[in-house]
Amino acid sequence: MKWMIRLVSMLLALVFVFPLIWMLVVSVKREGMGVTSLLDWFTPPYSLDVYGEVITQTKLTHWIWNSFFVAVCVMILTVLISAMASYAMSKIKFRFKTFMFFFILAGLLIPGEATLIPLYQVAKDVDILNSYEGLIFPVLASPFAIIILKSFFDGVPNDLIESVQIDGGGIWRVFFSIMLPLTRPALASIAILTFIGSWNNFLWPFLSVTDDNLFTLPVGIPTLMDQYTEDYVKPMVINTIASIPIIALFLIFERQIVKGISMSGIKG
Amino acid sequence: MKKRLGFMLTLVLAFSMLLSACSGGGSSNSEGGSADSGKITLSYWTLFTGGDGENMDALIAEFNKTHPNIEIKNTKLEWAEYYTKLITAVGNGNGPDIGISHTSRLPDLIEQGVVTELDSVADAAGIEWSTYNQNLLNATVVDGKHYAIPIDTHPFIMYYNKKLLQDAGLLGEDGKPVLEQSAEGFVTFLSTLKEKLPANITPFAFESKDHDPFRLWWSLYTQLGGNDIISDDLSKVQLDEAKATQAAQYMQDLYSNGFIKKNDPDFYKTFQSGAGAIMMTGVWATGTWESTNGLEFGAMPIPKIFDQEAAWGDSHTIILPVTKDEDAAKREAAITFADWIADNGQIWAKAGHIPSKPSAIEKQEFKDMDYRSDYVSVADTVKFSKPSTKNWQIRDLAVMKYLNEVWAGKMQPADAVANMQPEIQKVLDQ
Amino acid sequence: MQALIFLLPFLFIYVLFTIWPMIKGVEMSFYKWTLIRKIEYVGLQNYANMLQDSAFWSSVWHSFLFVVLTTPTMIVLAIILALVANRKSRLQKFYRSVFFLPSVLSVAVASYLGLFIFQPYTGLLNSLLHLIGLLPGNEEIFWLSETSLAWIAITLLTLWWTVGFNFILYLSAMQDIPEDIYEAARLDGASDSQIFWQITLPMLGGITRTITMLQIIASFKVFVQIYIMTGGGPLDSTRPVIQYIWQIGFRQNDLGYAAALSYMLFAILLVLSAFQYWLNNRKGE
Repeated sequence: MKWMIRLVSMLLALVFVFPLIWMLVVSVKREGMGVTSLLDWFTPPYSLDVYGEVITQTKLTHWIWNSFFVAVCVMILTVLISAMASYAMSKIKFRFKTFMFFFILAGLLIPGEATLIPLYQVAKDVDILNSYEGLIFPVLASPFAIIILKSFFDGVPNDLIESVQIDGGGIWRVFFSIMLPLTRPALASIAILTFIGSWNNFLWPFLSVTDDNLFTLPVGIPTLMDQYTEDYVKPMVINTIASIPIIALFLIFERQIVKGISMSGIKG
Repeated sequence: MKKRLGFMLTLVLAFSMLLSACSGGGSSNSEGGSADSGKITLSYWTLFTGGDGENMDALIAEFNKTHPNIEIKNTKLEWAEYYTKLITAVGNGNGPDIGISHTSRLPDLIEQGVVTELDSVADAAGIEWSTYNQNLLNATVVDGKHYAIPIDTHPFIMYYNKKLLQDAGLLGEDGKPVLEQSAEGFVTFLSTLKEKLPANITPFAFESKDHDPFRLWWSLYTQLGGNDIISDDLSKVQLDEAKATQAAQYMQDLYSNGFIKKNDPDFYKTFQSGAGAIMMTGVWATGTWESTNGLEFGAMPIPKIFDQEAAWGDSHTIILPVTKDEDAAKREAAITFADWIADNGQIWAKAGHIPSKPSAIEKQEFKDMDYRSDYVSVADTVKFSKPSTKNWQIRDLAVMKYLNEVWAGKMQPADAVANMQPEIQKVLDQ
Repeated sequence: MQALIFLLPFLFIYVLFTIWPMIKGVEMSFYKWTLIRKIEYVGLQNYANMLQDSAFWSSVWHSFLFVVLTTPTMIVLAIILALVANRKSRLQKFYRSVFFLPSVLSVAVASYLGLFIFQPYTGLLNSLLHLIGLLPGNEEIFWLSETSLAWIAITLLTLWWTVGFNFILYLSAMQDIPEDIYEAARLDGASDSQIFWQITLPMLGGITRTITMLQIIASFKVFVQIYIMTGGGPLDSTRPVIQYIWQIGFRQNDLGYAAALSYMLFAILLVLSAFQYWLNNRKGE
């Protein structure tokens, strides 16, 4: 029984990594070998020529950079503006607060996919199509982040805030030296989820950008792929190059990522 | 109080720096403009890949070299997304200075307000319309105005592998296939190939769905005398059901008799690697085959399977999309480029296309090229679609969809033909 | 005043890019409106067309079908994976990394891997089946050309690519179950399977509700992997509603009609959320 479980576990793990191993192996195969059996992929001749070709002759690396750049900007700005708004909602008294709360809450019910078509028109009207601004700004408002952060901010004791204020600290001091440090895990969780969301965002970049210098990975990759091919070498090189940075990031930050996701489950 | 102000200032500064960092990279606006040193830079969007793409690159390089005042910058877009991207980009003011359009797509682009009319700029640049093949040119004229410069015709033709045909005893003394031009003749030809050649050789390397089968079906339908699928006033579906069904039935039998490899993911490769005896596609494949080592092939018009010679075909044209500034100097440079491309049709023909200027066809350089003269005659029997703004939608949304089911053996030809008609009408009514 | 300063950046973006499009869409849906410009007022015509547009409704159905196919399988698979990775073993960390790894791939990479895995002749799966003799050498399974097989392929790829998130959620929920409960049960002589069915599973009830809720909405919005793997075919039989709306808007250049369809999508998602809210509250009691 014990070894059965162990065997099944290993098999499951194999199923999960095998496509990635296959991707890697095919990517170093020499092009145009006319593969007829699975074993052919796993036997020489190997070659790295296609890597050089893809890196020098396509914009793939530039798109990787774009994806990172956009994801990092979206991550930082989303966390910042959500934290600011949540702070106001949690710790500052003002009129119409209840109304404001429901106004933000309503946003949870408006899925981005349902407003995509008019959003395109709005982005066109304010002239941010085909620009980094257009890729970044429309996706920054996250009512979800606000609801989560607000609940964390609510947990920060008011005494702490008052003690800073007695020392002459202003509202910004409170925000930066009390609220943000104390809710770091929540902020990190939002940051990680936002990064992944932006990294995988397809529809909006796909619609809003026509200039290939601004493509992000998900939009750029299909333009390089020839769907009707049996020679997988080049596609797999593209897939591998596109995946290496994000896999490396994952392995470095695995603990934080896992934590971030677990947290979203508790609050979601 | 003072302290607080300083802090806030820092914060605002930091925030705005972040914002500008995030949008700073965004200034990569592709418009070079005609600013410095009198050199005009033009952005040019194309949908050419493979052999076509390389030839267009070569033409652009040559043009840039011989025209020091003008620089053309080519952006290659994916074929399937090209028109959507073009319309979108022109719509939001980010369109290119020069673009490509198929003749069949032109009416739609005109109606959308994507392309500009060319008469005044053509006069200014001294374009001689009479130097073009008039059939091609006429298809680009709407209400007496020119909207595009045709640069080629690209009909649907047949290629054959000489070595495999020889093995099957079907290659004549003249190096041409021994093939009786009739419905039975073509089937006999394929059956012989299937019998005589090893099992891993596909008699007919062919796409299993979408475009090439549609093109063959269109060719056969018009060979039977079918006259497009919409009425002359472009408002009603007008499909000759009997002929459409007969053509589809004939092709379904080709698939079900095993002449074509089922769901072949890479039918080009099948022919290219010598694993397919014949293949049909557009003339643009010629250049690809030529550059393939060890592939001995021939090219010919598709056989006259039914009553009259006819084939699917379309034509590439160069258009000047609507731009923000409508800079006269840029437009003149752009149309000069377009005319130059047509003049040098013999270079473009390396990809396989038939030039749009008779003078290019007369050039020795063109005549010296193999294969092209074997199919240059097809240009006269090409059956273009009528100038409807809905051509592509009809094809993509209604016709191809049902024909694909026929090729897959999931639908009877008659049912498919019956089903596609209301859908075509729906597209026309939209 | 202070509150306003803190709220302003968010509100500005929120109103401009979430609330305003929601209103703008109403105007658009009353017009014939292309990518280039507003053409003409058509009143409720777009909505009337929607009611008779069978292609639209079947695309809605395909999205539902995708929800039905992926949600239960996703939950079962995530629990199994979490059980594997929760076992005391030297490979614990390895399992966690491996099961989550596909989830970090870009959506385009994952989808193209899916395409190449399920392609006939040279695809990974068919080659594998040929190699181990489950599929005769001269036969092929056309995974992406048959409707039901295509759904299987799409579902498998989606599970492989996205199960990681739910797996992590289950894993951390399992790790939150206090060890002494298990010990007490073992002292009472409970078997492994009894422990799973009577202790672990009930303790996962809360997180399962959360996952189900998120998964249904997320699955309904499926688009990219289907678009890349089958393009919505054969005969549009796997085309999800988002793809249809996109095709109407951008391929067919009819933003007005697409805006009208978007409101239907909005309504459906709203009903789904309300249903879940109701379900959640009822079970929670």
